[in-house]
Amino acid sequence: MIIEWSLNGRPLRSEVSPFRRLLDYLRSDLKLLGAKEGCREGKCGACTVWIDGQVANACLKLMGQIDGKEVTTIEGLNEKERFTPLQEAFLTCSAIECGFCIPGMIMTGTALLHQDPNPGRLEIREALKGHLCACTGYQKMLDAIEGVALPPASEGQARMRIRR
Amino acid sequence: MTISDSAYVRRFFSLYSQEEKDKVRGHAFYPTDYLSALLPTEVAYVGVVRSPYAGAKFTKIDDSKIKDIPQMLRVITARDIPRNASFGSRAALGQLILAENQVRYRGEPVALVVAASPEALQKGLKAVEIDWEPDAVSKNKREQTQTFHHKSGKAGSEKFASISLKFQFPSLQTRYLESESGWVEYHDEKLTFHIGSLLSESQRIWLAQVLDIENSKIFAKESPLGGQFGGRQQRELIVFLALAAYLTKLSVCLHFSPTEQDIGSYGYQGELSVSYDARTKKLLELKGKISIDAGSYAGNAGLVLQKTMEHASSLYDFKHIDLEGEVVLTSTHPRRSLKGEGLTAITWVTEQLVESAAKALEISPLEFRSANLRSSGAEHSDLVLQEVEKLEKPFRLLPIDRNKPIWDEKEIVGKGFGFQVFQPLTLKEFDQSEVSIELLHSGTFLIRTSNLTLDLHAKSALCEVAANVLHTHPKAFTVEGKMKEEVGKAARRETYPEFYYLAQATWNAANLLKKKLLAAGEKALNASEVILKEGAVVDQGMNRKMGYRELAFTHADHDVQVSFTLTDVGQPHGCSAGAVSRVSFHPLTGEMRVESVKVVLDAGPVFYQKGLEIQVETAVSWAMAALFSSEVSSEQPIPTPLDGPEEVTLFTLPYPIKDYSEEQPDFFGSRGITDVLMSVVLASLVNAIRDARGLELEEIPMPLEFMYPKKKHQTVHMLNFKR
Repeated sequence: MIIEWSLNGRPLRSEVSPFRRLLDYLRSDLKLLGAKEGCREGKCGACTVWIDGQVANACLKLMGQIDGKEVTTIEGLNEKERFTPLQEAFLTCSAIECGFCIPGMIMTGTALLHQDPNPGRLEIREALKGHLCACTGYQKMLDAIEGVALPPASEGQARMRIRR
Repeated sequence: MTISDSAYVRRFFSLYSQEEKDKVRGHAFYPTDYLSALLPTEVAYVGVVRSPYAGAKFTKIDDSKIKDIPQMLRVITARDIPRNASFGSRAALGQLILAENQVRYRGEPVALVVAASPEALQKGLKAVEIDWEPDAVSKNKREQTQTFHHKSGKAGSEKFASISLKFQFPSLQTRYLESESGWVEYHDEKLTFHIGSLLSESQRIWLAQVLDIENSKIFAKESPLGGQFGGRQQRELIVFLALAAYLTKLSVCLHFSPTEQDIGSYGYQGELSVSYDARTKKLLELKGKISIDAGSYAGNAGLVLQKTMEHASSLYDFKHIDLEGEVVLTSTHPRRSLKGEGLTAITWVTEQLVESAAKALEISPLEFRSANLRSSGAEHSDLVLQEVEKLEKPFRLLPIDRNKPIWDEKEIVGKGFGFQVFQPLTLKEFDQSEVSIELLHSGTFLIRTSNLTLDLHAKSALCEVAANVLHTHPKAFTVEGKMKEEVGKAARRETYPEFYYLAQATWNAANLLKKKLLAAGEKALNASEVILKEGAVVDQGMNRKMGYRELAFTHADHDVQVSFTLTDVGQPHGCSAGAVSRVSFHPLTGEMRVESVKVVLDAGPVFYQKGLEIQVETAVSWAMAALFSSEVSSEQPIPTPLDGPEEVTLFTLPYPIKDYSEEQPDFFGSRGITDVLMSVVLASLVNAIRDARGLELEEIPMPLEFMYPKKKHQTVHMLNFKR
């Protein structure tokens, strides 16, 4: 089956079985290893990608389901010579130990911040609930996402994010 | 380049290591990444044939059909292994790497299949035929192998009030099961492992014995990233890789799916009873029986059971203790002393009984505990208790407002306490810990340790210790395990028992290096000229003293490497902890919420405070996993700290760490901190649930009926509905 989709902003035509998992296709065929393979059953969130801007587990999606869709992986999020604000926040908050869960967390965190620039701690906790981290603990990750979040409107004079 | 001695030499370092930068961009590689895309093409694939029966005999492994499958390389059975014996103590119990003619548990490995491609491997695994004779009797086996008796004090002749509790604590599973993978490079009769974590010396020796080759032929390439999800050492993974590579003389890879792994703790059950004097309000007697389910092989279940019995009395002064223990073999997967070494399994029982006694006596549970504290062997426990008391004073639970309708009323709330003390009773055999620190020309300090199994937390902690002594940032350090070519002692221990000694050795090595660097710095500053290494940035405008790291960029004719070997250690510090938790139940839905967990910890002088915070988070999620869904097959989602309370607070008892900076410290933090934290958090949660519901919890995981009390039968009549 020929699937027309877009990956990290580039239009693609892929001849692939519609039953092939998106994660396998990304990792084995396209050699994009940023989405990690943890549990293969949607429990750990290490393989999180965006499909049409919404977070999804790549291990639970089949290629047939992404026909006509726009997929973004962590590689598509990376900027050339700088970190994204959330990546930088993860580094400054020392929210990384083994790092296996981090690409997934960055994808979810960034999607959350796009949706709501000033999420509360509770919303951040809810958003990260589909992610497993066995070594760092979650507090520092919550701190990192909270650090990038804009202050609520009442606190600051203007709601503006400074982008370099 | 030459400058005068007043110059300020510095280099701009990036605060973040390349490793961290790669991780945050998703560019870091893990063992599964190799299997997905990065393996060399000539690598072969190994698969495991496992027993479908718990308890069975087999007469023949028929591999005739698989010979016709293209790209099939070899089938390996027990007969092909030079020395077929499992790792460590299980070898003495008769556990084999591959079963010879009978299996004890479902999932026991029977044969290995090696193929040139994953597709051929899958076909090969299906084509292996085994003549099984399932044994119905051993399926429900329950055999007592060891018994223990723990007794102290004398029983009084008078009869006092007593409370008893039957309990059941199942095997607690590793809830973060992930696929585990790795590969081995075979070159010139040497095996180089590429796995999630380093091989320990004892594992290396074991593999050499299994293959009947020299130790020096087995290497491990340190994975700079730990493993996936922190990395675990899979004994099955390494021995299967080693066997397949050595017997086929090929590089091989292996992938274990989560369903192939069963890493669970021992299961506990029994009955404990506590008697107390209602007049003096003193605890008198602790009696009972504890049995431990070791699975198919006992392993160290006997030792763990003894530890459980020793810690059953927690921090209380019982006049008489009489406990019986038994180790039971069943037909399940062999178990381990995972998470708590029995402390978690027993603390919630004792603490529930103590809280019940306080309730029966109608005095405050904390007051009752204070009056019954043990005087010896539980140092600082009273301080922990006082701290918990301080934490509790400003808070009171608000009673339900009866005037409000029930759906407006928030919840039924309860609070509970849990305490435990963990004192290593005897000092284990200690060979030595060696640590060397070197200041590299890049400005990085390299710490090498004699222990090869350091995980990321241990590495971070060692960096923290050295950074404290050398007054610099922990990120300036890199830690690696030093592979020893010759291993003197076969019984080299694993990470955790040795870790605190490594911290001491690191402290000493850092102090030695500090002295050396001070001398070298003094020499450089007094010299008439300083020669800079390439890459140094010179800023003559600022008059700042030269730091330790900047020395690396001067012409260092001096030796900036030290090594320290710790040969003598003292008794490690005991660990006391107390926790107070709050839970709430919605009066209509029965939904339970953990509102807050507060933990007070006495862990000695700990440099790595962040590590402790992570351990508290982990302890809370493990305690919740134990409470709600400890079985691996459970459909319940895996609890993480995010499912826990919004507020988890850690209070550590203050230690004057600065006092230790000038003389050799005798300890760095106590041992078994997570285990103690987990046991007190679980006990406090159980007591809080009990407080809210007014019921005793006898079984873990908590039965659903406990959460949602049975309601009156209700028939709902639906109206016919037409669109």
